[in-house]
Amino acid sequence: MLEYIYNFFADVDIPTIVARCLLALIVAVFYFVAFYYAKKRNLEAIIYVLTTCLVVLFGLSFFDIPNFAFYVYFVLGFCALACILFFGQDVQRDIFRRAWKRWFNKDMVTEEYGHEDISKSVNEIIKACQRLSKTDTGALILICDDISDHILESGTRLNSEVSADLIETLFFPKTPLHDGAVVIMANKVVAAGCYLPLTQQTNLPREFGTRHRAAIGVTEAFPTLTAIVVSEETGIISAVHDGKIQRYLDADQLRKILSYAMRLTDNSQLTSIWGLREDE
Amino acid sequence: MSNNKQPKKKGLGHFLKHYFGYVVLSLVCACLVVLLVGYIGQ
Repeated sequence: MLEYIYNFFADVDIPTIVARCLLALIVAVFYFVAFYYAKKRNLEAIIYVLTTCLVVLFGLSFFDIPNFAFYVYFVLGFCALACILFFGQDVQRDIFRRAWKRWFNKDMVTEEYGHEDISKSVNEIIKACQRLSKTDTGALILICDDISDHILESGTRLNSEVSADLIETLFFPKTPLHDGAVVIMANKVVAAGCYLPLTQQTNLPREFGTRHRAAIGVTEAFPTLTAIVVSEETGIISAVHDGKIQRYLDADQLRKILSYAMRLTDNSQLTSIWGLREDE
Repeated sequence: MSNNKQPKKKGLGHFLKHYFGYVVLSLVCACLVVLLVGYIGQ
């Protein structure tokens, strides 16, 4: 190995240097992505395992070990596979969902619905949330441009105008649709009683019940949507966007969040409402 | 409580500063991989 390292830097032509630099860059990006998501998900142990494996392999290369190439490819392949399995979904979410969010954000203010219609819907949602909060009635409302058909199919399709009375009625206890989420899309209540994926986070406060976990879970899977949650126990109104939760919302704060969610305000309001992500 | 303050925009400099250790570690690991792959492929 020592001899190889010596030759590595001697007598090399330009194409070889370029090829090595490219390979090093690709591997460095792969490692950095793995380290970045490991840190983000508090899985620092993976960083130590990956680095230790590599250092041990490099150390072993100084000895004359039979079938050394097999061990190198096996360990590196195993590490790569583990990283893809561990962080594949995060990478996919960050690349595709965030890209869609930034570049292809659809405008809800269409020819069909003007600002006045959407403002009216925002007022209706706020009114409904306040009434539900006063009566400690649990509610989960999703405001989105687009959502998986699986989620819509899990509930009952409605396709009706947004009104406070309708939303209140849908969450009235002991009715068939009260236990799921109401989905508001393109200024219409498109479905009610929808079942949502729960978040897998384990460090959430104990007072977060299934409704809050579902809201966080669905916004992790669909970062463009905003979920409004009314707690059944405390009546606290919360909003969740991209896995972030804001609690104890009053009418003004809720209006600001809903106005952004329903595209009455532009994307520049995003950071003032939700702050920056840890990675931004 | 909700966050109504306008947060300061953090750029690439902040990102690199925050993750500088990981950038260096990634480059070191990449160099080791290139050396290893080159060594077993010679």
